[in-house]
Amino acid sequence: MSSPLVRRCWALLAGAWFALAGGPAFAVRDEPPDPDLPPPSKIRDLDYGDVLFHFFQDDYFEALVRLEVSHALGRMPDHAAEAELLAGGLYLSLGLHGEATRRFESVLAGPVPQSVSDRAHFYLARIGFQRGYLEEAARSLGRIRGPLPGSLEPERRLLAANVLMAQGRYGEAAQSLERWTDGSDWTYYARFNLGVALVRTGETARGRQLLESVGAMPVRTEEQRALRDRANLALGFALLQERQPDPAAAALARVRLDGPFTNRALLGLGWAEADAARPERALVPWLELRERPVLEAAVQESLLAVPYAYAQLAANGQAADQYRHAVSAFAAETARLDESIAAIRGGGFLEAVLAAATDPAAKPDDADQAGWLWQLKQAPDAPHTRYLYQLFASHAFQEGLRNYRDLGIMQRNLERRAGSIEAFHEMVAARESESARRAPRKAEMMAGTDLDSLEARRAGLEARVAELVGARDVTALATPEEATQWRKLEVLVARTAALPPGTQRDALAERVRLLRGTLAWRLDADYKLRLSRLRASLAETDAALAEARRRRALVEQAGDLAPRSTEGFAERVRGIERRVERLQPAIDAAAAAQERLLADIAVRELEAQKARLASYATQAQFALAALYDGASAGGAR
Amino acid sequence: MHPNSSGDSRGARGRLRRLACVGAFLVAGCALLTPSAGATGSSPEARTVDQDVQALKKELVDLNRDLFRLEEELLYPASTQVAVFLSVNLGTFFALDSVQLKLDGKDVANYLYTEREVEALHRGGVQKLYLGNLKAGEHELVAVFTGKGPHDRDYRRGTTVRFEKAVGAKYVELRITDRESSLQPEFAVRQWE
Amino acid sequence: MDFRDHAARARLTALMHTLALAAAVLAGALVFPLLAQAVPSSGAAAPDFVLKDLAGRNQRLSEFRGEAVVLTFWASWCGPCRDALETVETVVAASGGAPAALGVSLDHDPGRAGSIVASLGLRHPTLLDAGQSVGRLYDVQHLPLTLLIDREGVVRHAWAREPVPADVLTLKLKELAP
Repeated sequence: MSSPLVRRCWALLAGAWFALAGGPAFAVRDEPPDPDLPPPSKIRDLDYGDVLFHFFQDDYFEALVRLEVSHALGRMPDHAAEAELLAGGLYLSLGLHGEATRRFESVLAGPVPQSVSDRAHFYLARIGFQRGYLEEAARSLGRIRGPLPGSLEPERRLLAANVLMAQGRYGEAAQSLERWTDGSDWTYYARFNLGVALVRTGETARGRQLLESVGAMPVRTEEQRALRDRANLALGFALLQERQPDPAAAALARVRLDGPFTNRALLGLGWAEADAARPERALVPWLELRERPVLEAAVQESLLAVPYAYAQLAANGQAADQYRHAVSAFAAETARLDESIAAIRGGGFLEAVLAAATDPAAKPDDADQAGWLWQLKQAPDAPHTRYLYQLFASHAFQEGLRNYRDLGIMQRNLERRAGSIEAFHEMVAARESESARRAPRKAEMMAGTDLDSLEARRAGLEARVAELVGARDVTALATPEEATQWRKLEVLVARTAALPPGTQRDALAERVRLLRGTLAWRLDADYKLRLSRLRASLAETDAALAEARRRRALVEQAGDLAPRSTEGFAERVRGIERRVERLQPAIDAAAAAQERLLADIAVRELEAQKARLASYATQAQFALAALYDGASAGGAR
Repeated sequence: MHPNSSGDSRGARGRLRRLACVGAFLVAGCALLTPSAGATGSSPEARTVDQDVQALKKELVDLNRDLFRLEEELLYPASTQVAVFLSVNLGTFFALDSVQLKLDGKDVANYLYTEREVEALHRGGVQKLYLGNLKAGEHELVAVFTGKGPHDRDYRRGTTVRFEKAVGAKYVELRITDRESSLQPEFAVRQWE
Repeated sequence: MDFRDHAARARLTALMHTLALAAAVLAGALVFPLLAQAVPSSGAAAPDFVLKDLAGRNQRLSEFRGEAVVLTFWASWCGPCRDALETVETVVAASGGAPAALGVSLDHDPGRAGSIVASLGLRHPTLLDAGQSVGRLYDVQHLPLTLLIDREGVVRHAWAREPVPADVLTLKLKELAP
């Protein structure tokens, strides 16, 4: 029924839409690392545990700051490799892939357990792939020895398949997929990517099979539903390309009626019916589509498709009407585009975009852009946000917007830190005045305690005791009364000896001897007690002296260090102040540059849409002219 | 409308069909021209700004790190620093509700735990519960935890730790564990210099 | 009417007027400092806190970082508070459940707070501040107090004494930039 020319046009048309419907389903966001951790009892460095405490609460910035502090202070000796790996992952989650790469590479530089090196290689491979360095990515993947923990393993397989596909090695990608049978979500992403790639390269049958399996996958989450829709959409257009309208319609009919891919599916359904020579049935989805916001390509095409269908049904009057309607709709839309472009060029565009893009109702960290962005599309028209959905189709725009938002967050973090600098100055000043206050007291104390002479005295005492003990001079420990008694007795002894011999003298000598003996005996008995007491007090003095000596040393040390360390602190605070002062304008400048870039991207995107509208409008004019020609020719007869 | 079987109409329709086809071709062509969703195509300026942003972010991380460190050194110098950590090592899930700390008879911490924090502890995180200053010598730490165990049973346990503060930073780890008795959670204490 | 009575009555009236005026002045003198707005200023970080909710779970404000929060201080004895709570519940529900809404009840008796929550059918969490420590932290002088806190924990708007109108809250929510 249709000529080869028409057939080729269908193929091109369907192929074009297929190209838009397909496209890789890579996860856009860098997922934070999933540390395969030893059980809690094995955490040996408390500070590493502190980092993890914040990490597990998804507080990545806080975790990273604490990690870097503990690293600088050498507080995690038992977890060095894991800490470095975690640092790499955290930097990655903050978008710092350069720094992350450095960390992963440094992990690999040392002797590390295989589980750690495997993960480092994986992250490096993922970064490489996202940056477009396929060879490096493949190499890194090749260095992974064992299975990765948790969800990293299926992610690795997806990455490996994606790398192969990006290198055009579809056969190997297909083989790796066949070996992958765990049924996780990741397999579906891989199958989708491969299916699309195979269709693009002409291996439609195999591509279709894969797309069909994804198109029938079980779904629970929004992300899964979006993937399934995409698969059915791509399948539908692939089948259209193959001129199989009925299976195409079946596939397209599986796309949700209220999802991000509905419009394209409706358009495709119409073409399927038209291709099956059922233009009246094609009108059903196309008329529905035509009522939707005209800023989307599918809707714009429906404006042409509807009159085309009418023309097929020989309802030329209707067809002409609809073509005219299309022309004016395109003109109106072009005018709106012009307005938006002018507004963007005039500045102030980004705030409006950001306000809409960061609507509290939107969860900005969804990897699934289709979800909330599509909701954005349904939002009432605001001048600059009408085209947000289209803008977000551009990867460059997304990244730029993320940077811009991050810069804003950084600026506020910096403001808070800058605000605390004053407090730091005060802290340092407080320390300085504190040590200045203690300095005269310290100096005084140091002067007052002449430890050396004290110790000399003590040493002298001890020597005397030793001497005494050696000589067993019991009288040395006598009390003053006893000493006086002893002296008196000595005198008596002498006087008695001087007496003339005789019983008187003997009796007296005996008495003196007894008295002296008693005293001596008493002194001897007390001697031991007194000696031990003396020794005890000597020991006490010993201890006290040692303690005083130690304290003095500490004081000396602190006295030595204090002026130096306070000076060190003051300098550090000043250094930080300088850095803050330098960073603030730098961040502002980067934000301004990013804003300009985003405006450029936006304008380019909108210009491209204008071009499309222009071509559609031209088409409509041609078709209208043809209709008039036909009518006048018919009329002339 | 009636299908017109006249030759001219057929010709008109054929022309129309061809035009529609051309139109489709135009559409296809235009569609192919629009940048596809997967392109990463970044201009040199975009790459420069991207690199600048990355560098700035790194500087900010470094700045935050240096401030954090400075603050700790100023407020809690190693010579007087004492840090109390809390960790959990349990075979069954324990919904920790709160922990109170008394140091030398003075209340120094009274922490209420959210679900998120409890989960972080169970996964192996260690909380830096308290950071303070103490003079050298003997000190006493009294810790009490409350929470709900399995079968909704309420627990309240305490422990007293006497420790010596020497010249370096002192770490005390309070671990809530059921390893010893394996029937209920208890405190175990470890000290680190 | 006796002239003296009249004069006496007039004097009495005058005296009473004077007393009333003095009382008013005194009251004003006492009340005036309270009249001055004492809310965390817009642009300041919302002080972090943790409280138990009606279900017995501990909730920490800083864990809501990443989404905007509408924080409402109220008490069972404050009539306009009910309007404020209803408005917040409606607006937040209409915007799809985000931002988060948190109510802080300053009632000494949690039972009272619970019954208000039940009667209003509130679905957002209600935190109990029987000791009014958080009330003091936020220097709450007038109820209701509704604060709009952005994604990073900074107070963006505050409405004290009168319940925030629904359309104003909706508008401010939409305006929230990062």
